[in-house]
Amino acid sequence: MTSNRPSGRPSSGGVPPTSRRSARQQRLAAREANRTLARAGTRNSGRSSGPLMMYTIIAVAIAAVVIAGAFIITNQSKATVPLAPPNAPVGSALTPASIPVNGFTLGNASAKHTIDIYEDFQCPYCRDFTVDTEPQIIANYVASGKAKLVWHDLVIIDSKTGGTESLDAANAARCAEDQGMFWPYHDWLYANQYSEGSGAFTKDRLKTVGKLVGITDLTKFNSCVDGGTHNSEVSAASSASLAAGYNSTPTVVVDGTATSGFDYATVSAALDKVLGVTPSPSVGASSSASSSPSVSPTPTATPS
Amino acid sequence: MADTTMAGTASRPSLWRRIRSIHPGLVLATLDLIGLGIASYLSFEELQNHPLVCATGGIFDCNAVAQSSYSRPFFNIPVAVYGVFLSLTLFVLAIAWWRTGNYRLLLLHYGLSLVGVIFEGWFQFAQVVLIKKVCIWCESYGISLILRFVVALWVYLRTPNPDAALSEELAE
Repeated sequence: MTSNRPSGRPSSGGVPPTSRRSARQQRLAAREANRTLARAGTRNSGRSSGPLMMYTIIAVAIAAVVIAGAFIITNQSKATVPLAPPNAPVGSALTPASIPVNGFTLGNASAKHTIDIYEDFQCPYCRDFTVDTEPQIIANYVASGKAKLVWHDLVIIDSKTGGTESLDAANAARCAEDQGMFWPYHDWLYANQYSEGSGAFTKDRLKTVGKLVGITDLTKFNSCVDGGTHNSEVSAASSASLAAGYNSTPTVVVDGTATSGFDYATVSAALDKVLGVTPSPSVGASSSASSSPSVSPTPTATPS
Repeated sequence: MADTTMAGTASRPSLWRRIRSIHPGLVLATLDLIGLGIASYLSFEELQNHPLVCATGGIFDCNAVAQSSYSRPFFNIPVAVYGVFLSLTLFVLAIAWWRTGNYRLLLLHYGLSLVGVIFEGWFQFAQVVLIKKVCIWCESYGISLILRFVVALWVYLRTPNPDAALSEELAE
């Protein structure tokens, strides 16, 4: 009897095929015999769990030491660990250069409707709004002149962290606006936001960002940053925002009415309401992988 | 008597049999190369201070994670660099095990990948809870690491101990 099976594996356990046994039954029997032998071989291999346990214990111990070290070092020196140099904003974090700007206003200054945004540069949700929602708003409402976007300072995180990074960042942004560079500087700040109070917006980094953004008169800019030239204006603006009842960031206000949320669906619904349009689902302009649906308005009623 | 089961059938092994015939060391080495590629990209971009190419939205933001101090816990070196060295070491171990059959090399591969998996668990915590952003590239590397750990463990548990087999032969 010959067999084409791989060497080392028996064919049929010594039982000769009978005329009544189908080829399939023979194969099944042989397969079961092989499995039995393999299991026996494994059980009798004498493989000890000792080495595996030893390596596991050592690995866990090493990992524990590494993690403990990482945690301790990170938390102890979080404020002093040199941060990576600022990175340029990319993708949806960039305010389109084609949109007209006028100081802190983005879009056609004479647009009938206004979207006021109240933000703190250290606020992570503000960053989410800037990267995810704002590009869609710009593409669907600001670019076409239906509305304009107006930035407002609302510095509230410093009181939580005990630092001045929010104030310094807002001041630096106004220093950039002195040279007509608020919106590019705004993009760079959000592109380089770290966790709150972690040193992302020290004056040195703010000045570095100014250089990278391309501010022409760096001497004037750096002096403005170092001296806190616009601190009082930032504080006044924040106080006015708080007095208006806006005490969280980001706050989005459409024609004087604060929206209930800052996701695109909520903001666009508020915009469509003031525009008097019925929204229809369509692809938004955002290139981000946002889970919020993008909606652009399709006029079906008499425009307001 | 000819094996009737093989009568009339081609001698070409099935696809599953061909997959199973691949030495697991090569499987591990392939996974190690994938991890090495991901870690190398992250290392190169982060050391050059270039922004990472990745989709952003919601909780996903590779650059926020990369810029965090939790991504540079030791000597301001990105964790991705350590990932490069780990993947390179694992790759060498996998190839060495494939070539020599020394199961201690497999155990070492298992142990090191376990260290990596545990550290990945910590890094996941840091991303979700502390940084509040998740890096897709880091997730991909973590998945490759988990796969390597699982494969190494599975292979070890199914590999007969050559030392015990040798002892049995000598006893006979």
